[in-house]
Amino acid sequence: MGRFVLRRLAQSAVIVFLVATLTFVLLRMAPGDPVRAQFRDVTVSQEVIDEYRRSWGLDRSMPVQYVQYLGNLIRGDFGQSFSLHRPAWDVIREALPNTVVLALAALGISFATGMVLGTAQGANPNSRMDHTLTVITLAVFSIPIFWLGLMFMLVFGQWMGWFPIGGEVSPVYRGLPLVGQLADRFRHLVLPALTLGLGGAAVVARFHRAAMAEAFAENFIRTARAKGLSEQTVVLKHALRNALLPAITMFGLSLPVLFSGSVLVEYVFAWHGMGLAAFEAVGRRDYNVVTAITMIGATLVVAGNMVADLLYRLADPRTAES
Amino acid sequence: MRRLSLAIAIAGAAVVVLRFPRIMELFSSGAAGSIVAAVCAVLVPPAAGLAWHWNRRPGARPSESRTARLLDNRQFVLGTGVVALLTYAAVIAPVLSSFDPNTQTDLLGAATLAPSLQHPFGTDFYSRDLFSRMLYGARWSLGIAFVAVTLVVVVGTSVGVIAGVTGGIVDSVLMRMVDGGLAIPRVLLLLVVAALWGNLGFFPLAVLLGLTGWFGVSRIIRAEVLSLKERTFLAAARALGISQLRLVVRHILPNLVAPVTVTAALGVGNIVLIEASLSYLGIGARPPDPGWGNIIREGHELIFTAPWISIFPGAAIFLTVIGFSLVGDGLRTALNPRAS
Repeated sequence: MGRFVLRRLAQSAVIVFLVATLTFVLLRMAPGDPVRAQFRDVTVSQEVIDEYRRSWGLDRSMPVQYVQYLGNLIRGDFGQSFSLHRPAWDVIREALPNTVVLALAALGISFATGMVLGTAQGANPNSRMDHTLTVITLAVFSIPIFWLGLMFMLVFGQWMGWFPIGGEVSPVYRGLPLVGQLADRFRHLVLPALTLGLGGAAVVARFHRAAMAEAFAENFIRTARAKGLSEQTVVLKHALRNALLPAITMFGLSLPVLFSGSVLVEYVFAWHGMGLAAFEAVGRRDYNVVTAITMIGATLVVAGNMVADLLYRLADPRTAES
Repeated sequence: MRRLSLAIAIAGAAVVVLRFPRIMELFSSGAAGSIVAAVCAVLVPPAAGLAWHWNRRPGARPSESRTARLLDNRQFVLGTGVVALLTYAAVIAPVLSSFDPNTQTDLLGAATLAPSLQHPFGTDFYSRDLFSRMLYGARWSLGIAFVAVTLVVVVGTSVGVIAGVTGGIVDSVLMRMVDGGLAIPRVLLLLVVAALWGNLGFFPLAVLLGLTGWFGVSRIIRAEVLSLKERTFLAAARALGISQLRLVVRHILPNLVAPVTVTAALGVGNIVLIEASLSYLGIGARPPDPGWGNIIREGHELIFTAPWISIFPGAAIFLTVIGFSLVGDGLRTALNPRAS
């Protein structure tokens, strides 16, 4: 187990390093000058441009820049934001909590709904409910996520008027009592979290249904039934427990999808998270912010995958041999 | 499948009859694109009719073959129907609509009109006909997906086969690359590239989508190759001393047709979704040219006053993706009877 952890850590480090290099290469290869992009609407003299270039370290040769870039990343220094004139880390610090809240809520919705549906389907394969749910999950899975967000906005925001259509808090947030503030945040979270979570729920349901079906084919299920255990015990204690293993892998795999989805959902609902920050930073050629977000995103995804792998190992000793 | 051919033949014939003046107009216009569309509109109904006729004869095909299983699979037939209809509409776009997708018909009088007989899907903020924009948008969205998925299949299969057959250090290196590729949030990567390089245009965007989408495919194909390697017929072939190349071409590739077809079908839907996402963010299709994603982008600002601008393209994306999913699922069930 110790060796496995070490090997897995080394692999993760290599992947993060590759992402860092890829980001550096892409940003430096891109057409357009990051300094001039900050002064799109004003005329500035060449001296000013050169001064900025010097202070951002863009005047050095590529290899020197690359080494500096890696060194700064290792020290956790993301540098200054080109367009906002403050540390890139500050931009992240404001955006990260919003993304984490949104992602956790979406994960919760995905797994809670998906597992319940998948268990119900797996326990009654080929029933009418199973077929209906299969069709529904396929349909949900096929909806473009940003469009789903727009439709939620239209139906539940405009027509029904149940939820606000964007942002994290209302303009009157500061004047509210604590309970009111929490309720306000919750009301703003509902539509984005549902949008981001529903697609995941469909994936989890499909995956979990298959895992349940596989568990039901095992001999120990037949034994459990032969022993005369109630169907409820068979499903919940014997089949479900064994079908939970693949769900761990599922969790690891869903992280990058979640991150990608959050870019779109944050854009639709003007949710000030990492995705929206990345989108805005790319548009302004704010390289340091783009790098910071990519690196933090990639690290989170890689770490999530590693934790999922380790959990899987712990939960299923059989995989340790291979 | 027989009923599907008949349905297409009838629908196609109806189009030819109802839009006959427009077809003649396109023929006489002399523009190559218009003539191709008109020819397709005229040729599709008889072709579908012939397919229906041939399949009508009893014993036209052995009932236990793969093809028979496929054609009896309801999911596959339904999915094919949806996909065929959308592709057909995209190909004969100028026949179905008389409006040019980018022409502003009447900025003051005909902007954001609700759906009507003259404009079946309404008009947008610039008074352009949305039905027309949807049809031409289908060309962009489906076209990119087809090109990109070809690339995904070719690169994914090659890498998967090379990794699976060679094994050892090559396998480890390739698979670590794949791990890395899967760890990067794809939309973020595409966002960075597409935004920094500006609006890319059809082929560069298709290549970009293809080159960032093969990681999962290569993993599936590698696993398939590894399981094939365990089978006796490959051991026998190797015992006969055939070359590595011949082993791959004659014994491995033919056995990969089924998984590759399934992944390709599922991949198209996925790429349609991703391309639409990019266009929605304003970094895919180049305005004023329509793609389904950037029509929704234009509809976003008017979502409460003119919801039809966003509703129809979203529904089209949904139909496309579900169509290809049905085709993929149907193929999987029919080509791999053990799975069911």
